[in-house]
Amino acid sequence: MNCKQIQELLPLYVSRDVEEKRARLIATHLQSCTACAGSAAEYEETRRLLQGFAPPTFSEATYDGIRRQVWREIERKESTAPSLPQLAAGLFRPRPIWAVAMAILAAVSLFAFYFIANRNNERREIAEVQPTASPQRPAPTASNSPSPGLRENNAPYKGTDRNKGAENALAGSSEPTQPIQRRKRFEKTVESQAVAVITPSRSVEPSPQMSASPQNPGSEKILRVEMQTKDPNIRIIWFSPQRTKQDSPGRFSKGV
Amino acid sequence: MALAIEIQMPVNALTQSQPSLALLIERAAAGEAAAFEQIMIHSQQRVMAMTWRILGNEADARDASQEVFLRVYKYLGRFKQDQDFFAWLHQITVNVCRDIGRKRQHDSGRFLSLDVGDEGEALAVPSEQQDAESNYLRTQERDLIAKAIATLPHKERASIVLRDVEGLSTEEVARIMKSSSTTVRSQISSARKKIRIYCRQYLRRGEQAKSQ
Repeated sequence: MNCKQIQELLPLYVSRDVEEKRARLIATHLQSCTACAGSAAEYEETRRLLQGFAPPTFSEATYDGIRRQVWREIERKESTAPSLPQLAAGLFRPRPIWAVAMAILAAVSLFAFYFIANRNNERREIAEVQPTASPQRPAPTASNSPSPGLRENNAPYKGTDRNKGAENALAGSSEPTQPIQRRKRFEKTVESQAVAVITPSRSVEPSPQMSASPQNPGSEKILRVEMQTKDPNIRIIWFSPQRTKQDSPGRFSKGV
Repeated sequence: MALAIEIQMPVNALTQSQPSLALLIERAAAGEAAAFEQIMIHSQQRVMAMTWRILGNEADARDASQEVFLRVYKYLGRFKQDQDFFAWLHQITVNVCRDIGRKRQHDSGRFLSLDVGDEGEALAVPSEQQDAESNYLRTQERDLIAKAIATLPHKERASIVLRDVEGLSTEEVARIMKSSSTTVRSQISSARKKIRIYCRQYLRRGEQAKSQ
């Protein structure tokens, strides 16, 4: 072991806090190294001073004062410590601010409940109505009672006239009462829920696919109504053939 | 003299009185005020001496001793009879001294204040009378060590006081400090090095002052 290592171990060596083997090595080194032996003597002296480090003599009055102060403090703490009934009374005493907070919370909860319930009802209505708008349903025969709201010319609908026209067109069909009611509800749903955009009703020239019957070529006009629902994938297109001499069932299709 | 005895016979003398102490603790834990008073009387010198050694002044030592006894009273119900009461007491004392030291440091920006005289006073020429000189030297040594200890961080200070001043073993110190023996050895080694350096510088300055 060199001096540096010995110097590191000397503080513990003086109190026999090193292993036996190391202590023997240090003792051997100290016999031959005066510098390290001097350091060891200093550590011994420091330890002696520490062992004799006595505090000044405190008077009996000091100790009495400490004890009195301790008892005073204990009594003070015990007298100020709240008892169980006091704690309970503190917990359940009326607090106006809590009442106000609870009222606000109840109001918010009610509003949230009403809002969520309303949304669910609307969704259910859409679910009920959508099958009625499918192309598989029998096409309405609007020609039996010509709808006053639908225009044959190119004049655009404006504002409520547009919706009213569509409603009238649907209500004016010759279907039984229940489907009409359902359709009305659908109209309402489209109005409130799905932002129905009805393209201006116009007369269109018959396309090859939906051309008029070969018996009366060119004798019919087709009314086309388009409604864009909120869902961009669903557009409702309603074709109503207008014949001058005889009625024919209109075509109702739903474009997706 | 009484204090010297206090240092020489700390643990063994009190462990001999363990049966009566255990009874006192039991009665005090049950709420008997007289028993707790006896416990305080029994341990007040030890607590006051240790708090003074760690904190370095009487006012703080008194405050710390009060707090130690208040904590003993509060937690006596948790004390287990198979535990060493004085080890438990030392543990409380070290914690209280740490708290008070922190508070003082926070309040005054210093870790602690010392009752011991300033450097000039410590290096004054001793009296020619033999007894007075001996007393004076003892006081000088005590002041020197107190100042040296005051420079240490709390953990090193508590470890060195428990190991060298209170005379506990490294393992006992480790238990009180809730630390490992290796850590305590390291703290003690570091503390001794610092105290040695402090004493050497102090004495060197004293010699320089004498020669002038």
